[in-house]
Amino acid sequence: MNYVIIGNSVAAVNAVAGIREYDREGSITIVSAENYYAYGRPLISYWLEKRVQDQDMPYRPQEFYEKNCVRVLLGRRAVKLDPEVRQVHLDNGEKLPYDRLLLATGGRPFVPPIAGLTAANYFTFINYDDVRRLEAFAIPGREAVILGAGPTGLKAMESLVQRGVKVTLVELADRIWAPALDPEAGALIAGFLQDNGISLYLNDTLTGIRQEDDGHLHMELKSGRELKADILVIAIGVRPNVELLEGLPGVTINRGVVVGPDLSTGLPGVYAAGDVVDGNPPLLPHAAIQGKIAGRNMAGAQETYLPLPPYNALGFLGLHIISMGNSVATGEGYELLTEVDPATLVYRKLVLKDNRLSGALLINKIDRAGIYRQLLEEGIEVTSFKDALLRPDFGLLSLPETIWKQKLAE
Amino acid sequence: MKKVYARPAYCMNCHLCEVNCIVAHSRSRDLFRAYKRENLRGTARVIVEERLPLSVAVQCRHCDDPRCVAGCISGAMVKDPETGIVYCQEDKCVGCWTCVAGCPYGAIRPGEKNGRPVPLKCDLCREADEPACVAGCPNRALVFEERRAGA
Amino acid sequence: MPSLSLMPPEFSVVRDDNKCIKCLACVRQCGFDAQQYDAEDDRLYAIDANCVNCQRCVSICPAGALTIYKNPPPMRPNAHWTEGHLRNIVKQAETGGVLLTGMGNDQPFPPYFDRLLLNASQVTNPSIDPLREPMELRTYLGSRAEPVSREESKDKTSTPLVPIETPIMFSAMSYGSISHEAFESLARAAKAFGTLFNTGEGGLPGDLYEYADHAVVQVASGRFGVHADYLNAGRVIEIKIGQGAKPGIGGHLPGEKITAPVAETRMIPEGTDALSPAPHHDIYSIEDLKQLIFTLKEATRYQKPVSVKISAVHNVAAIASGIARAGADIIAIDGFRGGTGAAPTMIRDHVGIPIELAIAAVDQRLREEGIRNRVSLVAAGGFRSSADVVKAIALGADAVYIATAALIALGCHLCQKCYTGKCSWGIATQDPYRSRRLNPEIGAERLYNLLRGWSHEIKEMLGGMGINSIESLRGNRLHLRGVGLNEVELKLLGVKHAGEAM
Repeated sequence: MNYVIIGNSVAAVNAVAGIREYDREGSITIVSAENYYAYGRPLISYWLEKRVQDQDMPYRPQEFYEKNCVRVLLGRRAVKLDPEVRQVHLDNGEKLPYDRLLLATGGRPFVPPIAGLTAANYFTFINYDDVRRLEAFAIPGREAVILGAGPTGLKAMESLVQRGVKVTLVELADRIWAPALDPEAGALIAGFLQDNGISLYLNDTLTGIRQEDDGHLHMELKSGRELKADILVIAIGVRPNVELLEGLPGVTINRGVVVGPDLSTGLPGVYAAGDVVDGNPPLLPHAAIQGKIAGRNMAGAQETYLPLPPYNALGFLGLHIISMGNSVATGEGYELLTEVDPATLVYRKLVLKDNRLSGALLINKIDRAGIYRQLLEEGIEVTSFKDALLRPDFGLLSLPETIWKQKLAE
Repeated sequence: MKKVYARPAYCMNCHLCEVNCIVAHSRSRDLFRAYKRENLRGTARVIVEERLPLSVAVQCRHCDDPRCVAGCISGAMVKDPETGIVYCQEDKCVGCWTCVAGCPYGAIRPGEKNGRPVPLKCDLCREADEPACVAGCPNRALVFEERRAGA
Repeated sequence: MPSLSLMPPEFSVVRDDNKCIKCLACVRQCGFDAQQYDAEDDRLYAIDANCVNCQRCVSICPAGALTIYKNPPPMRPNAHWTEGHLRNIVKQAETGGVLLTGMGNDQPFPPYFDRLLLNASQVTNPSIDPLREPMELRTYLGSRAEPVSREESKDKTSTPLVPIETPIMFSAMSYGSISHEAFESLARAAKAFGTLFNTGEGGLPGDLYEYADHAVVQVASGRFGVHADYLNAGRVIEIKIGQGAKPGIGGHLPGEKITAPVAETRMIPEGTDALSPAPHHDIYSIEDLKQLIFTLKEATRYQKPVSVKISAVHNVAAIASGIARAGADIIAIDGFRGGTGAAPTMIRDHVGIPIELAIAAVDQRLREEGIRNRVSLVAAGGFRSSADVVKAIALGADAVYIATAALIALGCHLCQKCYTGKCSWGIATQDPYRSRRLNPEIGAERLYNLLRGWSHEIKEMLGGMGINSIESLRGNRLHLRGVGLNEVELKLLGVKHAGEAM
């Protein structure tokens, strides 16, 4: 069996592990557009602030590839897929035959049209090369504007702040990380950011940019406000890299590639996993799990991927947030359990619907968050232990006896 | 694989498993140094949960498909393919705590060691014959055994 | 209770802060709320007045940071007004109640076992090495048929003999007075070793019937938990008349200890006091006793030997003779050192006689009357070692019951607070938080080890005497010599003084 994996990040590496659970013999080739062995993309902010060094970037040690007999083609792009003859064409003209192919190409930053924006006057914040480029600019005393106050923007903010750069965040929504933080939590964190010397402009966005003669960037916001900075980082989302499958018969592409429950695309032998998959939240655990299952299925297993609700852990400047599911839902049919202590920046909120956990948001008190996630994913009814959910000693024993006994026996 | 199983009927809430865990994961492996010099109080990788009279030691179940490993952004958290032990290569951890959000048992807690983040989770005392919590349990409320073939 | 007690605490809990790691194990384990933690100040401290010196905290502390000291006498030393008397008087002045206590008589009455020494073979008769030669500890309990005849016995009322693999059984401790865990430990150990445990007067919990074949099932004045299945399941039935720790009085298990499973086992409503009357209200004579003995034998189709347990009291020999004649197969005699879960202190410490004298007197009397073969004699009450066992058998017992020693093996530290139900060691309590500290697996192993150790020692002692069977020692008082005993004591014990030849 001939396996080809397009992409070399978390989904790809986990697919290798998945394949090798079932097939020790088949040949595996990874085609990586980047010049690096797989690294956890979220590590780039840690790299920029030098909490992680080059040697600690790899997601798996070199021996992982050797042990699993994986050929990795670095700096190569797949440019065309020929499903008729089951070949993938590379940018150097090479044609790789495949029996099973995994599309794990991830996404790329979305950059909106902004007057005056050129490749030279902004940064994105998604891969190793982005921060390698940014490193030279991020020197103490400089100023940066970050467009987008979601997880990527916030991690970019943290790393720049740690490097001594003064940061201004510009966010189109009315609060930080709007899909995960409700207005109250948003306000709490906005205050925290301001206390840390970060400027924050909400309900606003960038409409124009120009480079002045002194090298400074002059930016205009929708509100009319004008900002001056040395660095612009655009972090307002990613778009799936679906080009390879575009226009091929049997493939459906919405925002991403549509896959079946076994993660196969409409093309025989072609699977997809990670951020490129339609409807999949662009989150690392999801990519890893999909990659593993896709790999197993490519090697002959018949495992179903049950769509996982989003969950995410985000920390910056000593603050830690875990969000999951529908963490901002309010109104009819939703019950909210909350614990708020502004003095310690603790905010814990559980969103219940039909007496089941629908979402959770935990700030600065994140112990045992995984139990909530499990309750949420399994759709367990919490009526009998609702009172215990936010108690400081909430734990496995708070769950019904049949559940905790079974969990402890696992 | 051999795992630590709790027998709640015999857990007497002494929390000595936590103490033994802390010592086993200290630099000095000495009770007094661990607590008084290394300041490791509260860093146990096993948590005794209390709903008195019931108490039970909760620790990593070393899942077949561990969420903590799937969610680890740095590749620090791994499952040893030979032993099945899920453990963290602590010098690779950056403290994002996706593992905390992932663990269905709440068996990973955010911790700190020498100013570095450390996920507090059981590693079955990888180098020892028997985990310290089991060896030191005064009432055999913890046992280390193989219960399910291949698990 | 006045806010200020006139009596300072008996014990001081001293914590070495250099060692203490603040793991709080002591706080969690103290059954009496003596160990405290102030979370706000992150400070551990002790309320000395609550400490009963049960040593649970000392044993559990991983840092060895705790020591409990006995405080100096609260008043100027006085040989007549001892500290015990003073404390009792003050306590009663404050409460107006009857003094209660647990475990056995702790007063310095002379222990006769310590004034008796064993013989050993030298030159003229060979000693036996039990590691090389067979050594029989198996003992048969019950009534020996008489006379032996070639014809098939016409006697359909004899009951079978019950073998035990060592002449040591676990004495009566009821489920209710001790925890299920402690009870189960005894049952498991008895089964594993091939001896018997005793249900006490609280019945046999439904989940422990698998051990019934090793149970002496008691029938006491309260008749708790007595029903046909219970009687038929046990190996031996024992009518409890008296208990060494509290001869002449009944029992009182407070309602707090009557939890649902205890209530079910005892067949009484949950939470009600379990009162055992002082006498059996249907036994006012030997004839009445005989009626009950045969009622029980009838109920079990003569398959169960019946034992009658009495306290060792002044007239014990005559009473035992009556019991033997009433048809009992076993007589159990409980000496004044016997333990209890609860007894009035004055009764425990001042009523009854030493077991050594009782055994000697009963064995002698039954022999003189030619009925010793009708019954097995079981001695109980304060057996501390295998040497005590050997001496008791040489004085005339068939076997012994141990209870305090068994509890010590399970962790008991003799704090004598059994009656509070707060036992820190999980033994004398029905509180699940406390009782789960005693894992019956471990408890059974420890009891088994104790029986094993004592049995080995008994074999060594027997071998030294040149005897290869415990049967040959029974009543063989020539193997005993007294030291420091007066003529009356020697005569009652039926032994010569050390130095006297055969």
